[in-house]
Parts: sequence; structure tokens; C-alpha cells
Amino acid sequence: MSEAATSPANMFKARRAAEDRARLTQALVRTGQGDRSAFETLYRSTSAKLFGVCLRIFGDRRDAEDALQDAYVTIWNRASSYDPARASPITWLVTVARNRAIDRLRAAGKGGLAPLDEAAEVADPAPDAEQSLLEQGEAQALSGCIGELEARDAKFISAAFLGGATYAELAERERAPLGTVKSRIRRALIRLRECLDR
Amino acid sequence: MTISTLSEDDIALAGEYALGLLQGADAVLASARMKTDAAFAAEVEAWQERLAPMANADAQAVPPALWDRIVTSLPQGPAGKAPARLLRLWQGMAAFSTAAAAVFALLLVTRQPSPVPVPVAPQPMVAALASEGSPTALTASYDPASGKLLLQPVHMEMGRRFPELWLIPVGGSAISLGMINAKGASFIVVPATLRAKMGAGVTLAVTPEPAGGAPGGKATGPVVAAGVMTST
Repeated sequence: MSEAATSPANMFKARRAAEDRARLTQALVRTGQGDRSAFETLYRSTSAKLFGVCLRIFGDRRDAEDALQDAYVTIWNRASSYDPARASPITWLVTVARNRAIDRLRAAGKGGLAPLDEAAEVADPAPDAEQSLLEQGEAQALSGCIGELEARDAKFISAAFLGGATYAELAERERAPLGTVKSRIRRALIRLRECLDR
Repeated sequence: MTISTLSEDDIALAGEYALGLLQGADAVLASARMKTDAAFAAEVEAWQERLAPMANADAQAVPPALWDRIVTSLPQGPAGKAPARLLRLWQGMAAFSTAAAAVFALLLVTRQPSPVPVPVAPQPMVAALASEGSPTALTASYDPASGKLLLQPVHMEMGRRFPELWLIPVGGSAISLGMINAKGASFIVVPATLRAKMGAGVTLAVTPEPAGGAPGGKATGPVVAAGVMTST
């Protein structure tokens, strides 16, 4: 990692990624001040990524389009609460898009219905030209640490994150007591955090 | 790396909350804690940061028409947020006649969906504040006409501390409503400045605090009971 990271090409890439992040932060902060042109800039530079997130959660294009529209209206309304000191702009945007999509999934009565095996596919760590080195590193670390969990627990976590499954739904599908599922996932979360902080 | 003062249990709770696994009273308690406990809120944000890559997907071409749909569904904010089209129209009208423009602007204003729900006739509201292991730790009833809030503890364990009541507006941070009795009923007259914030959907929460209340208006104890106000 360290040798690759200090190659001239990667240093150039890292600098460009830092500039992109600064531009995104500025666009998001100005959106929070009610600046429509900043909001449009933000939309143009992030909507393809967030559409990918919505499609991943919904599968269906129409549903994903509605979810994306809802996500950007929510972003417009909540941008003033974004604090650059607390979160990276892309994490904030992805979190808003994911949470709105899950809310819609649940409102439509489709929460927690994705088959566990399908939901288990975790972020593809294959390098993506649009991703910064930092993002790639984070995605690889998460997918590595999820790979260290027991397969069942990893499936629970992604069924919750991408499928909106709650404890009650997971317990019902597993035909296991709620308390058992809950303590398994809590243990898995602690292990996941330890692994990511290593 | 920040040094967290949270226990392993709290760290797992923050993860469960970020994943959306919690329901009912557990979800309300965690959401109230987000607003009163900065370390817990930071841990939830850290979980969001940790988990965000799970949503990674290839970028997908967005249908061009979607941007227009988004723009037309944005709420009308203050003048600075009005779409340029409406503003230009308004300016054009003003050039002809300020009176006509004023009427037109009024029409525009009255036809816009208001970003804030318009309050209707005040209705009494109630909340059941749940705690871990007890669906009702205390009940609250509120009369918007007089601003009186009545609290009735059912089962509330405070140990050596004293219960402080917090109002958590939707999307806002916790505001103290003062100390309440752990054993008997309490009457609180909600200050006039806060009454506008009391409505269906706001959360009431209780934290254990030292005698005299949380120093500096910031909760020091964990949320031990919380519930959402609903109209009767």
C-alpha cells in the first residue's frame, strides 16, 4: 500500500481526490444556505453515484428514480445540518440516500424481503476509476472485515443495511428467538468495529 | 483516533441504530439519545462512515428528466430560495404595476405548499415515555391552549439522580423543560417561546441528572425514558 500510494500517479490522484472533496464540501455547505446553483452542481457531480446506491437497494429502475428524487429533496431540506467537521460530504450524501431509500422500501411493505443470500454481496472491492484511493481503501477494509465475520452474521448485517431488515424480521426469517439474533448481531458489530479500527 | 467513553454495549447500540435494526421503544430511545449524548451521536456517525462503503455501487446514468422533477418538488423557502423563473416573473409584473404585482405575489404565496405544516385548532397531545424493560415509564399529556404539560410517572428508576425532562423537536437538539418528580405527578408550564415547538412528532425524553439539573443545559445522563407526542 505505502509504495503504491507514493507513486507519482497515485500522488496526483490523491491530490485530485482532495480537491474534488473540497469542491463537494463547498457545494453541500452552500446548498445548506439555500443556493440553488450549488445544489445543481452537487446534483451533477453526485447523482450517478447515488442512483447506483438506490438501484442497489431497489433493483427496479422506476422505484430507484423515485427514491433518488426523494433523496435529493431531502438533501436540499437537510443540507444546512451538514457539518464538514463531522462527516465527509460523500458519506453524508450516501447515508441520506440510503436512509430515505430504506424508509421508502419499508413504507411500500418491501422492507426485509430481499433474500439473505442475495443481500450478502458486500461492496465490490475492485478499484473504481471514480473512487479516491481513500474510498477504495475504506471499501476494501470493510469488505475484508465483513469477510472475517461468520457468514450468517455478515448476511444479517447486509440484509439490514441494504434490505432494511429489522431484528424482528431477521428473527422471523431465521425462525430463531429475537434475543438470539440480537446478541449475535451485537457481537458481530463489536468484532467488525475492532477489525476496522486495527 | 478519538477516545470514546462509550461502553461496548453502547457502541453496539450505535451500530444497531445506524443499521436501522431497532424498532418501537428501542428506536425512540436511541434517537432521543442521539440528541442528548454527543459521544453516542459521534459513534452513530462513525458507524455511518464505516458502513457507507457497503452501499457502493457502480455509478449509473440518471435519466435527464429527473433533475426537473426534483426542482419542481422542492419546497418554497424564503425569497432567496424562490426559483429564478418565479422571481423573474414577479419582477416583470412589478415593472407594470406594483399593485398588480402585489396581488400576483399574494396569489403565488397562497398557492405554494407551505414548507411547515400549518397548525390547525390546538388539540391535546399525549406521549407514553418508554424505558428499557418498561413500555411506560411515565405518561405525558399536553394542553396546547394553556401550555400545561402534566407528567405522571408509572415506573421510573433514577437511582441517586433526579429526572430532567427534555423536548426534542423533529430534527432539532434537546431543550430542557426542567426537573420533574420521580415519584409523583409534575405540572410544567411550557415557556411561551417553546410552545411553537410542541407538536405531534416531537420527542419527550428523561435523563438522570444531578440535583438542580444538567449543568449548562446539556444532558449528562443517558436517556432513560423517551416517547413521541401524538395528537389525541
